Amino acid sequence: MSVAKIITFGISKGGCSKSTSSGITSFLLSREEKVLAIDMDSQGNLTSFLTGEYDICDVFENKTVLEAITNGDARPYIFNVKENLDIIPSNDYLATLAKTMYSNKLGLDALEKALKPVMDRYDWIIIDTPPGLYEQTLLPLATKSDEGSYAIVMFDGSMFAYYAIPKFMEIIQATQEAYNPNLKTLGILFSLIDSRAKENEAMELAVEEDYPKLKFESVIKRKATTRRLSIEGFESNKELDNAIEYYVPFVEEMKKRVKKH
Amino acid sequence: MSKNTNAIKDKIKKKDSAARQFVNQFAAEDEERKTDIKKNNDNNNINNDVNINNDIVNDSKTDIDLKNNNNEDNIINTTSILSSILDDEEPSKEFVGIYFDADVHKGLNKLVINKSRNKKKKKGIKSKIVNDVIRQVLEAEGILSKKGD
Ligand SMILES: Nc1ncnc2c1ncn2[C@@H]1O[C@H](COP(=O)(O)OP(=O)(O)O)[C@@H](O)[C@H]1O
Ligand SMILES: [Mg+2]
Repeated sequence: MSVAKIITFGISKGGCSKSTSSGITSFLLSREEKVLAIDMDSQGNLTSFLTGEYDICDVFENKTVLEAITNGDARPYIFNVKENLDIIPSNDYLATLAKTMYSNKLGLDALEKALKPVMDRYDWIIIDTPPGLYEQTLLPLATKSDEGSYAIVMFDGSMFAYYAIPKFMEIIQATQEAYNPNLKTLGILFSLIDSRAKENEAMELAVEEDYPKLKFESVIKRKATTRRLSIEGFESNKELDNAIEYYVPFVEEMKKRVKKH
Repeated sequence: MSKNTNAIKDKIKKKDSAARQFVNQFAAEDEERKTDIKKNNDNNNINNDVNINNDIVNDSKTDIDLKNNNNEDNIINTTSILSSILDDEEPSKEFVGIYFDADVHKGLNKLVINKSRNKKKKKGIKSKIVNDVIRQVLEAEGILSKKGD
């Protein structure tokens, strides 16, 4: 029986395209395989991005990943987005996760437990995380899968993000040592890259020097159509192909790397 | 593990990061929870698992029901270590991360649960036990002078 491969998108800095990238990756993968997207950020950007619903606080009240984790079973909290694509949403109340976990005596295997009943229903589980050192980030990284669990580091080419990379790497490493020995860093994805910025090459060199061979060859450039995707949505969007152009080769490269591991 | 991961790891390992402290704190709590659950499951056996002589019972003025089983091979006098948990003096503290053998860590958690039952001040008992065991070794080696000397 095959189970889902887990991919967690993260970086200890906001605005690096985690939600956009995890959303488009989920969408592209679902063209051929079964995908479960999980929103671990209380901002609920991935939830809105994929469902088109912006009133997440009311619409998903008591129906989020917070309840899935607390009740130890994700099944009642899975929403269908389109063929082959489901999501476990989040909303503002996910901010109470730490407190909820503490009072329910839940450990870092809580998400793994909640997902156990659905692991064989999907080929991929794609998880979006908030920036920083929180349970919301640790739970996905601690979630084991027989088919592999992986982290993708998002990098927007800025100095702030450059210094956030080692912080996220430390979170990955510490979680791997204590919880998930098979957790791997799949790569660093350059996103929101401005074609004209002259420091791009230097940043690439610096990252290559620090983390040899981790950078994905595919780079996601900044595009107005990609930005508008959160307004226009994926359905009957005339500029969809343009908006996700850079993500097509990335997802192929990502799948290849997963196969190699 | 790939060369790559190792290189990153070396880089990361230079300092005891906030991430590592945060994660390890969870790992320790998880371990205690597991021990706790197991303890509740076989409540009757737990006292037999911990091998401590019974002087401590009077000493620490708790009603912990420990088996009298004095192991002569013990290099370390558990009585004085565990009774010193009640010492009032509070030297300055430093936080360090230490890797234990899994079975030692489990045993230590069991001991902590036993020792902290019915005790008002539950915090810091684990550190206290480990600290005082090491203190005895260091005193025996002449590296530290004996407390009160
Ligand atoms: N490739 C891109 N081109 C243009 N805008 C982008 C691109 N990727 C993300 N954005 C925009 O950048 C902002 C931050 O992206 P987001 O995915 O919310 O980042 P994060 O989840 O890391 O905080 C959003 O407004 C998003 O629409
Ligand atoms: Mg986001």
